[in-house]
Amino acid sequence: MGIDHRGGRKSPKEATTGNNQDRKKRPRAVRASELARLGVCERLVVFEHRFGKRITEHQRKAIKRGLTAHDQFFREGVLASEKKGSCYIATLIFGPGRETVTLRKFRDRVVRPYATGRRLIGIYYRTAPGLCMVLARYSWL
Amino acid sequence: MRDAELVYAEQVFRSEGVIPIVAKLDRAYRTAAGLTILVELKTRYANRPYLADVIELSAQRLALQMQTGERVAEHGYVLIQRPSSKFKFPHRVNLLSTEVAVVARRREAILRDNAEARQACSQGLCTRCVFKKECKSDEPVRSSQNYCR
Repeated sequence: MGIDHRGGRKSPKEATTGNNQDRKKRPRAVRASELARLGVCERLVVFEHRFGKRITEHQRKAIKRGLTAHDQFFREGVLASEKKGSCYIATLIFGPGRETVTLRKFRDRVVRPYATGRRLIGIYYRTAPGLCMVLARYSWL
Repeated sequence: MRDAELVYAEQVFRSEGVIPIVAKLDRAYRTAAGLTILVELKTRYANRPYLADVIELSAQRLALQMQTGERVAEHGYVLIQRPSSKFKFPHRVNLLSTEVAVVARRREAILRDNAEARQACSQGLCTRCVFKKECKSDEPVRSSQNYCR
C-alpha cells in the first residue's frame, strides 16, 4: 500500500488504480510507415500532420492493389511454410500440428530472449536435420 | 534463403524508448544459423527500392530486435511486384541501425517546429504531390496550427 497526498495510507484498490493509470501513460509510438514518409519528403510529413492525409483516386487504386498483393503474399508464405514443415524433430514426431506450434511458441517466447537460449537454438538447427534423417530411418527409436 | 524458415508473417512488434516504434512485418525468415532476415513487399511500377523502404525495414528490425532480443540481419530484402505481374523482383538493401533513432528524433523535431522540413529531392514527386498548392519551395513549412501562407 502506498501513501496518498493527504499523508494517509491508500487502500489496496486506490494504490492499484494509481499504478494502472501510470502504466497507461505510455508514450505514443510512431509507426514504421510514418517514419518511412520522412524518406519521401519532410514537407509532406508536415502537411499530412497539419491537414490530414489526402489520397487521390490513382493512389486509392494503388493502395487497393497493394492490399490484395499483401494478402496473397501472406497466404503464399503460410502455405509454403506449412509444406516445408521445418521444425525438424517436432514436425517429424507430431507433424504440422498443435504440438509443433506450441513448441515453436515456447522456443520464441521462453528460449530465444536469452543469449544461452539462442546458442542452444543455433546448435539445434545445425544438428536437427541429421538427427531427423536417423530418426526417419530407424523409426523404432 | 532457400533453407530459411518463415518465422513471422504480418506480425506487429514494438520497440521501447524515448520514441517507441511500432512495426508490422511482411515476412521474416530465420536461417539455419539463427539469423533473422526481413522481407518487405512493395507493389509499384518502378523496379527499385527507395530510401523510404530502407527506413521502414530498418524500423522493423529495431522493433523486432528490441521486443524479442533475437539477432536480425543488417540487410533485408525489398520485393518489388509490378501491378501487371505476379513476379517479384528481390532487391537486397543494407539497413540503418542507430540512424533509425535519429530519423525518429528528426521527425519529432519537425512536427514540433524545432527543425525546418526539407523539400523532396525528386521534382517528379513535387509535380504529383497532393499538397502542391500549399507547398511553396521558397517558404519554410511549419506544422503548427497557426501557419499562414
